[in-house]
Amino acid sequence: MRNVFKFGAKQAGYISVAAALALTGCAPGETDMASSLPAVSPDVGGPTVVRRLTRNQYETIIHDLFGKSVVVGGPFEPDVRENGLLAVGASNVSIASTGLESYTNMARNIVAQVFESERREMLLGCTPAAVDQPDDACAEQFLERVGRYMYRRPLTEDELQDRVAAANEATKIRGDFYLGLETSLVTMLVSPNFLFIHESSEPDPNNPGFERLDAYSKATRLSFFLWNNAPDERLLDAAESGALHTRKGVIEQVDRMLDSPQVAEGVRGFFSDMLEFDHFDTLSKDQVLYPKFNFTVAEAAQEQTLRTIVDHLLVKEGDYRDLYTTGNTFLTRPLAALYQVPLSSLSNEWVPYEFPQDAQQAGILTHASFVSLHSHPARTSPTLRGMALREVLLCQKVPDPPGDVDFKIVQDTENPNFKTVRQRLDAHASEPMCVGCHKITDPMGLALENYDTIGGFRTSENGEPIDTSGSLDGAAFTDAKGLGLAVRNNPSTSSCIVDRVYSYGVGRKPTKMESDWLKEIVLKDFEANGYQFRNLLRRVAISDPFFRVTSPEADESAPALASAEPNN
Amino acid sequence: MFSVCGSQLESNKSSRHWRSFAISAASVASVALMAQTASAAESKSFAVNMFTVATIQTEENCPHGLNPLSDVYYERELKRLGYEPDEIEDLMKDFPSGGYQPIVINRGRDEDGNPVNIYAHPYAQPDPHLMLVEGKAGYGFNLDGKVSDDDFNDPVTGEKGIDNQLWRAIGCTHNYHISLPEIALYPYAQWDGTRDTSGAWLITVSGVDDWNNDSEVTVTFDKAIEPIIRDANGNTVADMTFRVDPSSRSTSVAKGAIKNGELTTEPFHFFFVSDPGVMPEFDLKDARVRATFTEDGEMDAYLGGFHDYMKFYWAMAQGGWTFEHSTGLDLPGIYNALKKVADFDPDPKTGQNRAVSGTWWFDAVPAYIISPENVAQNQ
Repeated sequence: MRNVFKFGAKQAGYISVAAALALTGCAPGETDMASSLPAVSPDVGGPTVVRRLTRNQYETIIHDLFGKSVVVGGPFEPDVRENGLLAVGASNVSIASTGLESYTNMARNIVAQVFESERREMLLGCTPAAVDQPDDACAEQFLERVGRYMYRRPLTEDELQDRVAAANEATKIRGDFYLGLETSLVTMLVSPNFLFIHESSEPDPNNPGFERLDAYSKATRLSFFLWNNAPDERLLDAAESGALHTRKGVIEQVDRMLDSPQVAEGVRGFFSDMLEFDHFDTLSKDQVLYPKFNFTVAEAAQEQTLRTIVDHLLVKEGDYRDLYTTGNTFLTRPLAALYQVPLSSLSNEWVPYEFPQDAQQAGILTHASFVSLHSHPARTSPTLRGMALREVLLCQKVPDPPGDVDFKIVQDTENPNFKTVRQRLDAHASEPMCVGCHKITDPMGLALENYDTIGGFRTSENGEPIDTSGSLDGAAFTDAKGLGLAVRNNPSTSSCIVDRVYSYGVGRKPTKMESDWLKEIVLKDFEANGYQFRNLLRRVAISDPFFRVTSPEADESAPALASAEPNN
Repeated sequence: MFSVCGSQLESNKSSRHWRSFAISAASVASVALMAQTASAAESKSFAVNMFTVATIQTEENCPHGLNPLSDVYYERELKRLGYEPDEIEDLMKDFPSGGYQPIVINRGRDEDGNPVNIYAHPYAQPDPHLMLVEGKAGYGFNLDGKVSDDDFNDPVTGEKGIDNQLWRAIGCTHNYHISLPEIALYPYAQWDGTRDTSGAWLITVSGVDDWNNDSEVTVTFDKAIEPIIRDANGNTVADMTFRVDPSSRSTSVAKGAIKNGELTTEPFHFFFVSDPGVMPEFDLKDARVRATFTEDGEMDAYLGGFHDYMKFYWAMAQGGWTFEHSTGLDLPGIYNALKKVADFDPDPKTGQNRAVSGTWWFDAVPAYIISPENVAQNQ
């Protein structure tokens, strides 16, 4: 009989939930959690996806393979955001012909650097018998090794021999072994096997009639989830040996990965995506009005928030919700100048900094990365900031404005009758077609009005004091710190991060059954464990649904998980 | 007190080497100075953005036009040295390149008539008699307390008796033929080309009870360890933190007063080790400062005093032909003009004045400063 789990607040299912929650309160590694995790219905899973590598992933893999000094170049096909994440949009994009041309040019440039004389001996691992002749053994050794990492699985024999033959032929034409190998490597760098993260499924022997990710797909999903990178040798070995098809094997690898410094890169990758930092690529500010803001400061603003997040979530193992209230952060001198606080550091060195208790800066909502990203070039936008708060942090959709909205009142910052943006928005939002959406966005955005469009603190606008009072879903506040507290305590904050983490890991929106499971089990786990982010990553990564494959048809027709039997 | 990275950042002290932070609870850059009611003994610190000779041009200043540029005075010198017109034409046919260069560089003559480098020996040729400023408009201060025919009238304050003979010497050259707020090319290039690598100039106004009126304040000049960092417009970023160079000789302190929002100082000795590209050392005797503060918390100021004219000359002459040609400043002419107009510190033997009165303008943005005691402690 299959193990299934009973959801809902009834009977033995609830006991199992409580037992599971109590048991998952153990510190990772202290117990074998394999048996303490509740078994989940094999219906809880989703389809496989094919995701295009993001720019960041592409660069990371190239640097891991060939060294950090290799210049990758560009341009890249634009990444697309869906369901709040580029990681999800990556499964719905392809590569246009111009994009392929760009990837080809990048590949040629990369391999030319790889096979520079100073570097190639070290990277190749073998020396051809003659430089002007093919050497299939050496080529095969190199291509097999890099191919396993590039394709995130071993090359099939046919694939390997095809690449070796290509190197052989190119050597004869170009008269040089290294140039021949370059040619072969270029073809691999533009192969869909490299540029796209493929997931394959296979029958699940533990759940007849159901599918699971194959071992290499498991390795790939885990690696991009926790490290935002291709699987390393040990993970590939675990896939090869079949260890990833055992709970023990998965836990061993997940714990290794979570203990590795590389998990910081994974966390950075996740939050860069969730917080929409890719929009910084096109962010501009009026340099006459706001000369402090430039490319360097924009980069520093992102780095400040990411360092704060990594420090709080991974180093201090803090409560995720406290990201919205903490006064601890990291600054450089130029960034300190933006915040108008004293800070001594060498050049652009990063220094831990704690804003004083009476300072208004607290939490990442008051970071320049948030307030500047969701503002106009020369003025703030409470609506954009409030909308970002709803959509990015609370996973709540704000409807698009109607097509015929008149923004004149809001945009006119010189109007003596409406000196502050609150006054302008009140006038604008009095229109019946506008009031509904502005009501759910503006109060939060107005709480951040002490921060100008680049994040500098101010107390007045056009000589008028700024009023930062408002409420978020019934929680009243008087300033940005109060807003941070309201966000912290809002139930959607934690449910949103759980949803986003899972979506990021699987590369798609959760199915209905997955959503139920996330809400009923994973979220409650998260809450019971003090909202610890590393624990959340682990919980997701070692769960069965993370590797389950179901067809879209199975999800649509499946009933809600209301009847199942307890695990033990 | 703030605590940043373990170092204590101090508030007001009354010692000679006192440094301060902007400790006002409100943002320094966002509070209008005139509207601020100060609590006891406040201070504000600044980092200099632009520093230049204070220039003003009026129709009366150069009634006979401007002094010629290098092509004209090089031709003149070649003629003086005895070259025929066709020879001069040949030597200068590829101007500014050409065979004339070594000749004009060594156009000076020693006692035996041998060529000498004119920049090292500016007296080794006849005075070219540069045209001097004849008008009355000139920025600055009445340094000697007198009003004489040689003095200027300050265009901002209207004060007569302004001592600015440096202006008289250089004001009718193309390079300085400009009025503030525009900045003369040579001093702009000097300053702008060095401030990215040279320690920032810091100013602290301390002991202030009322930023509108206070009869006793202190103005301290310092040099920072760090250079400035530029904003998107190429100006000094405001609100940056600087560490005062603890080993710096560039510390000058002046007593001052604020009246109706304008700060002025008593005479003091201003000594500042600058960048050799600007001036190796500023050494102003009887220096004064006059400053106002903008709504953004920035400082707009004039600095005047008597400076050794040869040091001013050497700051130019170190560039040799390159400087003389690219700025259009006839260096022996400048030397002779400065010597002529020098108005302070007579040589006891010769009676020749060794210093010239001059006025500089600068602006400065709010900054945080860490005292040398704390820098040393951290080190």
